[in-house]
Amino acid sequence: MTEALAFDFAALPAGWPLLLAGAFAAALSLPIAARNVGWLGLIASLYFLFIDGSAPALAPLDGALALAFHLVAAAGLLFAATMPDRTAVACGLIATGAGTAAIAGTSLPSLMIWTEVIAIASALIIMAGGTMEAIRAGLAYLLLQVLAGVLLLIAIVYGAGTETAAVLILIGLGIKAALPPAHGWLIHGYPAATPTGSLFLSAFATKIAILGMVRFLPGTEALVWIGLAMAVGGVIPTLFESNWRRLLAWALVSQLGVMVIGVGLGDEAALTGVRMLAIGHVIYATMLFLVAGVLERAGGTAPRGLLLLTLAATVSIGVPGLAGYGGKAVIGEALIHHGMEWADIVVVVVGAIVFATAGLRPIMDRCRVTGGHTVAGRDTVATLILLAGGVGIGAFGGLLSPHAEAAFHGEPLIIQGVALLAVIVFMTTRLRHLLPQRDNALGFLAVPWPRWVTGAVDLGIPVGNVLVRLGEEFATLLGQGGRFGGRAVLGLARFVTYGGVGDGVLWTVALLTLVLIVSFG
Amino acid sequence: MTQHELMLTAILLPFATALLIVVCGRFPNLREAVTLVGAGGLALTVFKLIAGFDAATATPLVLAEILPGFRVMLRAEPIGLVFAGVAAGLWGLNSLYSIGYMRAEHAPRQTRFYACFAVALGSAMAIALAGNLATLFVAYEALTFATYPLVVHWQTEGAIAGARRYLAYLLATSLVPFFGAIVWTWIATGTLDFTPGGILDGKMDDGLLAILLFMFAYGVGKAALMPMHGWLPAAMVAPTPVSALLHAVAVVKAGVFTLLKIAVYIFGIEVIGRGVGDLLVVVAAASVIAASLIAMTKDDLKARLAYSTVAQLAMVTLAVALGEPIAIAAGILQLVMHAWGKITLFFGAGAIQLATHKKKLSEIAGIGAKVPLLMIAFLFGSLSVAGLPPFGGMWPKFLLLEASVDRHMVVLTVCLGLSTLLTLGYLVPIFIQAFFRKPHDEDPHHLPGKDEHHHEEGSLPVLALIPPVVTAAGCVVLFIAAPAILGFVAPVIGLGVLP
Repeated sequence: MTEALAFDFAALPAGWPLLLAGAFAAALSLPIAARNVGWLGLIASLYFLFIDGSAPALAPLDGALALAFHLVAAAGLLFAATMPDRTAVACGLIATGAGTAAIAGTSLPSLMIWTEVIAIASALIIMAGGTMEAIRAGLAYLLLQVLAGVLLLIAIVYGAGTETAAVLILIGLGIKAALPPAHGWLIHGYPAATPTGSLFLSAFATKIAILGMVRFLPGTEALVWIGLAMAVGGVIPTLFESNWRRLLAWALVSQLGVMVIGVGLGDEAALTGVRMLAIGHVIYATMLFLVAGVLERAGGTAPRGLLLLTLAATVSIGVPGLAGYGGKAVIGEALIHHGMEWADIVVVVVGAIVFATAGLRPIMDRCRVTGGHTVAGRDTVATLILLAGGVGIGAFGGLLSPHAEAAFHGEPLIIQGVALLAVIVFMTTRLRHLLPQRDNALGFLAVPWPRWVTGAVDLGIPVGNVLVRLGEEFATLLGQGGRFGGRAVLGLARFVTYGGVGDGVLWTVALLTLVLIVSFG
Repeated sequence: MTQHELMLTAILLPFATALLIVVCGRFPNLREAVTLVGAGGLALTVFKLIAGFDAATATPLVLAEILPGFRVMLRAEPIGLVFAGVAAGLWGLNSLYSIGYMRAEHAPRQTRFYACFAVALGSAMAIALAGNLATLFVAYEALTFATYPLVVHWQTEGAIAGARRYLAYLLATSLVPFFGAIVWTWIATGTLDFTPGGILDGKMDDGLLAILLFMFAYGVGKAALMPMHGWLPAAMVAPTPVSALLHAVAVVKAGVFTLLKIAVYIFGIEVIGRGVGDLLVVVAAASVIAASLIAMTKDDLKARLAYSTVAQLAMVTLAVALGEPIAIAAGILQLVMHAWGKITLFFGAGAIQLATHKKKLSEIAGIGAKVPLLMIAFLFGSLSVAGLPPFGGMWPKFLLLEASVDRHMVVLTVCLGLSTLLTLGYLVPIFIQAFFRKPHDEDPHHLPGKDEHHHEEGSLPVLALIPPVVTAAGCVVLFIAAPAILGFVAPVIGLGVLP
């Protein structure tokens, strides 16, 4: 048992300033104060992670992911300035800190603990959406994630390396990484939160789960096929979905699928690709959610909003030099290496479609609609921060790992170019109207966990009522038994005493004699 | 002071405090000051006792010998000191809360209240430091009688009925099965002293031992193993600080502590582990699940928390019945963690009542905006009780899972996982209701009921707010401190060296 207990409490968790800031932000009642504390925590966290040098140095890829998390938090804080949502800000800061700590701690227990913290924070973010739907989705999210956490806990008990533990970790992280059929929590949960909330949600929980898979489940064959199913199954609903944030949630599932494929391949190069894609995806998924939030708030389409959207869409494209490219290219390379060229083509096409549906189509649909409020300067800055991150990871991604060099091979680029051209032609012309759009189209593809889980919780009530009834019956029985016993004792006492003292003595003597005869006779 | 003097001080100080409280009864401020000073002194004494504890030099303190082999005896040992530390540490916080609560409620009979509180704590200390079963039994009964006036405090018809039920359950169980089991143990072994490794091994058939274990499990009625839990919800008629004492700190914890002590020092962990406790495992696990399900049906906050307590206590019984060092460790940690988590919840429920005059889950929609800090503390307590990291409650759940896996009890592993989810299922709705639902006034679908009238708005005294916040923070601190507690008790339960 001793090694299973090896939680490391000696050092402060990485990202502790953010955790602290989140706690303060939750406790302080002024939104402005909450945000300023958030900035303080963010800067302190960056300082202790990268400059101070007292914390153990992170590997380059881990450091880049942590940096991406911090960029998301910065963007979130800016965005929240014009759309105050205290719960989302406080919990988002805590999630950022916990995510950073999860990156820094490499053991399974530490992964378990920090994913649970992220789960609690994320559930609160979803519930803060305020609608009944959001509350249901939040509760379902919490219970599913805690279930996953319990499975990880049991896996820790079995000890990493055993077969049972591997299965448990697969299921546990699978739930957290939105592997089907668990992906329903993501599809229903993320759009239910407030715009600020979705921005924070999109970044942390699933990426940490993917990171955990990279660390503890590399090379699990089945994941390749699950990942392919996610990539394709996730992208199809985006073609028909009209709720933009739900569309982005589907796109998120599809991109997670690509990462899961990489985990399934399991060689060094593929895993590097997964990590790079995770970093890039943190940036561009958040950027898309951010812009979706900006435009949602602005009502119509302000020119500047459109510009931001274009930027976000561009970053998500898989062209060299931008965030969306490096990871996917490395994973594609690994697929070719494993003799699955067709799968590489699938991944490329899926990427192009995601670009088309999540970025291009909204641009085309909205550029005709005029009016609406202008976009606040803070939101622009937030987008630009993420843009800088996106360009940075695209430009310098090659420095993070030698495997990233593979990204500059020609042939996949040609396929990519053709696919992109095709979707651009499709989306910019009238052809796009061939795809009907409505809210929650193909919703049957996502398991309605919110309804199922809350239904299961509600089911507990009638069962509990039956037990209550049983308990009442038992108590009545007990009461009767007690009364009967009491009467018997009283009756005996009366029998002995009412006959007068003499009789009592007589009876006692008689009883004693009986006892003596029985015991010695 | 020597260890013996400290032990005597720890027991006598609360009784002396009670005496002083009665003397100062006419001056409320002085009376409360006496309580707080007494609590502080007790915490200091117990702290010194723990800090200076050394297993090698610990000797029993025999106060009197009534019959040969039947002695009144004290003895410091790690498990008892952990219990003493929890009770002594929380008495001060509970007193602060009591002052805030009782004054805001303008409660009558406060002198009796504080005096009985002190006596109850003194009895709890005697239970914690008892050196043999006979001493423990006497202290255990003293605790029952000391808490009776607290339960009946309001002296309404309902309170009297509830308190009578409380007394009936506790006395009946302790007089028939518990006393019987003690006598049986004495006849079988000729001693009642707590001895490391147990005194029953080889003295009795395993089947008889299983029966004896059942007698103890149900005899210690304070552990509220289903179906003998009826007193616990009934005792909810008491003022909230009392409920916190009964259901989080002194009474129920005295019950499960007694069970732990019997398991470790009377039966011996290995004896239970070789199959003696298996049937009890089933009963306890069923109790966990059933009580959680019943908790879901309760609308009254305190009733919900009461059933939650039944479920969480059954986990300690479960730990005892599993008979593994690691399970016993889980039981000890559960005793600590549940005390801190549940007292936070009771403080919270009481404070909600003070602030809004609302007692029911269905009524508290939207109060989060009014008392945000309190509800965040409540959330912390809930998550700790459910056993989520980074809260102390995770440790016992984790160790229990580990024990169940060690014993290859797959169903039990599933039950434990399920219980975490069920716990969230009945505690998180309180938080959701408070923060994310709108008050009824803004809910167009809500039709005012017949008996519904606008309550006057209450106010939350700061003394009722600080304790829950402190205990909630304590839940996080305990997550980090748990290995230290484990290290403290590890030698007596044969856990081996910890990292």
